[in-house]
Amino acid sequence: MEYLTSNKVAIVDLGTSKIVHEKLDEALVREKIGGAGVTCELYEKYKEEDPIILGTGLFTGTLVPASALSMITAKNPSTGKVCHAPLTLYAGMEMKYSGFDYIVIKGKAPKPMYLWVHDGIADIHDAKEIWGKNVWDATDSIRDSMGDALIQVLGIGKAGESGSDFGQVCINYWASGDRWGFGKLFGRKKLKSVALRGMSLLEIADPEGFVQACKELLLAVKNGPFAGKQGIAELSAEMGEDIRKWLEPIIHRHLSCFNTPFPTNTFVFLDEDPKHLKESEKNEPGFLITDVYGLLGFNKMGLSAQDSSALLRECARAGIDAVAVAELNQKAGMTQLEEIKRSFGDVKGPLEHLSKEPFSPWAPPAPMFADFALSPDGSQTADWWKRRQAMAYIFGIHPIFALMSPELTEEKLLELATMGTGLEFTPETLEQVVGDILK
Amino acid sequence: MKEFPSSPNPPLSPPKIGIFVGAGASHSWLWFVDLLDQWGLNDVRFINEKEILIGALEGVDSLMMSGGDTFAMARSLGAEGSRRLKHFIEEGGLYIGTCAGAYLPLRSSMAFLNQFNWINVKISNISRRLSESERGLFQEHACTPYGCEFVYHVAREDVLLEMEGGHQANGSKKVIAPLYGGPSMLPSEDMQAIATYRGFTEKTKFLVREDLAEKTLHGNIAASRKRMGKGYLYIFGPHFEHPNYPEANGILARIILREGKNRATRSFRPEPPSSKTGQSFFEEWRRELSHSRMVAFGLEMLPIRWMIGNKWYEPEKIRVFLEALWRRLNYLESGEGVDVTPEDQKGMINRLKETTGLLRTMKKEHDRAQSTNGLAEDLFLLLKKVASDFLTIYFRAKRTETVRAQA
Repeated sequence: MEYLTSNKVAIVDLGTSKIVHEKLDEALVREKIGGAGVTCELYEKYKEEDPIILGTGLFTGTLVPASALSMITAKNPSTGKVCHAPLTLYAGMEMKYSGFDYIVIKGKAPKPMYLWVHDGIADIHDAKEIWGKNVWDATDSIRDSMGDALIQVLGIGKAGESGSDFGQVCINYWASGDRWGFGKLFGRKKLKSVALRGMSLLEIADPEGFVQACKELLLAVKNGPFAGKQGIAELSAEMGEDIRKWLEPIIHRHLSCFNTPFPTNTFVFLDEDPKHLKESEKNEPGFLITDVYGLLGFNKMGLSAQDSSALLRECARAGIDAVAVAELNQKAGMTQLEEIKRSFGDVKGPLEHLSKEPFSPWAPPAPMFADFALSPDGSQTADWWKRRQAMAYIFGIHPIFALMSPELTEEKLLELATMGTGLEFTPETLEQVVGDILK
Repeated sequence: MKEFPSSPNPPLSPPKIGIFVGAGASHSWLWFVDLLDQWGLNDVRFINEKEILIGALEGVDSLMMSGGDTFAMARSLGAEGSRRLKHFIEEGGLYIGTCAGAYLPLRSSMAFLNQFNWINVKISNISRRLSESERGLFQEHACTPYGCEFVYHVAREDVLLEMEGGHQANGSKKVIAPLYGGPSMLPSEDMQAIATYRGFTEKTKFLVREDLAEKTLHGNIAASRKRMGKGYLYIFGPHFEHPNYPEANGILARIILREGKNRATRSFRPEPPSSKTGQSFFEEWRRELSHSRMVAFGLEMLPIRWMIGNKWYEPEKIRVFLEALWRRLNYLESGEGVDVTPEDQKGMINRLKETTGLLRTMKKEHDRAQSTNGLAEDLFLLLKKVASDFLTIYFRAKRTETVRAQA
């Protein structure tokens, strides 16, 4: 496989500390395209060894608008169902450039380890210095020891280490879309973190055509109905929960994931005035809100925006899913900031809206801002959402942005796939891959 | 991943080329590496001042002296180095000097430099040629101390040149090359001009007012040639070897091919590797090079530079070294192995690890607001050794491949 790829798959056995590099089979790409199409196949191949599959989409890290997504595919430790968790911000892109398109992590380490993946090298490192540390400190420790602040760290905190059902794999310091408790799976394998960094390049089969098509698509996409809107509160408002005035006083700025035209993340200042224009005096004056449902969960408990964001920050440090913390604490009648903070180790119980789909409910279940010509009675929405998420996870498109960009049609994505790889991908192939993923 | 491009038709019997990597050589010698690689001139060795003093020039037809710190070069070579260089040229060797390597043989009364004095020419970008008011126009970084005067630099990046003496690029006498502090010379009977400064382009960055830049450069000599005994000295103010200027590269490569084969030196005989490197060597090399690259990239984001000798070094120069190795790694990894003893392999890996360690320490010291100048000095010395060792292996593999293909 020559184009849009590092052409490498790493098979990591934590039990033996052996790592095998395999070439990415072009026949597999022809059949499964990429992303979840391939991670599902790799999961099946290694399923007896309870694998965690990290995978990139076909377009991840390219000029295709919103090509920010990589993913974790693994068995949900609570339900036993194979699911996909999105890796966005800059982690998805970094994985593509780390020199591997897919990483299979199997076995269980005899002692805490972390995986260091960079420029086509995958190494297992002893994690004794970071096991027991919170997500933030572990990220800092890895970055400091390597001397590079751009390393992207997928890591767990105390929740994942201690086997909480809601242990989350976080991205650097922030919450991810892991709604499946994959942090528990990491913890069970004694895998503290996967650190990613790469400075490699991607080749494109038809570079001029691909770049031109991406530019045209970006022009078409960026003037869509979301133009002029930004941030997590606008997402919330579009979902029918208008928290814009509630959140506004602490907003400092909005941030996009890699190459994504809509900033789905909002940075709030908690320890400094958000209107502070000079460089911050605090090392970390606030928090990047990446999960609208976590924020809404605390909002519904009657907490202030400041306290809700502070709780999100504590959840991220502990590596625990804020949605579960909010829902289960609300059920238990706890509404005070300090008692919620102390509850992380005891959060247990079933969640009301546990998704039956393989894709994370981190992405809202309906079109965002845009008109996808669905029937007004909502009867098509659930199937549309599944298919739209499947597209996002195959091609590596930001799963929330996929809900706001009708211009990213399946036909256009297939056309770009052919231009980028030089391989012919037909609608029939795509249909088959989507069917396999949703099976 | 793209391999580093090579000339499709390497010459059957390429000249033996030495590249100076000793004291004073900064990073631009790696541009010579790119040029020679591109043109299939792969009989290359890397030479420092100590090796010159023990006869290393006997093994080469041509010597490339790149940019850097002329004073450090002159000081390290000393009278004996000067004598050996002169002997090398007079016996039919070809000396190519760019920028600092071009200043070295020019007439000077300064200590150490006065041991060379092979070309009797006046440098036009020297401050005694300016009025007091004009001197005041120069920014600090546009001047280099030169005895009790300053060599000053009026423009950087592209300059437009007119070639003379039959040198052309694609049938045109006009060629563009980048200037990074190299000399501008007044006409002299002691040398033959081969390029004259004629103007600027949209990419020229002026360090002074454009009219003063024009006064300093326009009509003056940018490159010249002098016969010394059986050999030649070619000196270039602008960097004809810079990889982004293929037309200028072509002129320089043709000079090397035409003039650089006047000496009888030993021929290259490929031999099967006696202690073949395994994949583990290259994997370890890739691992450490990757570590170094990422820290070096991070340093480029910091407001930092170092004065080493008489020359400023920016963090970007670190990656010129590292990238030169990185983009050649795939070629060696996919080959049949190269002949490096286990001890040498270990030494090479250890030095690369030391490079990563130095870079990480520099980053930490900078974060703690501590000076990193001493560390930078060590780093650039180490980088030259790391890069020249690796590139020696690379060119040996290339040469072996060429010879076998031709057989």
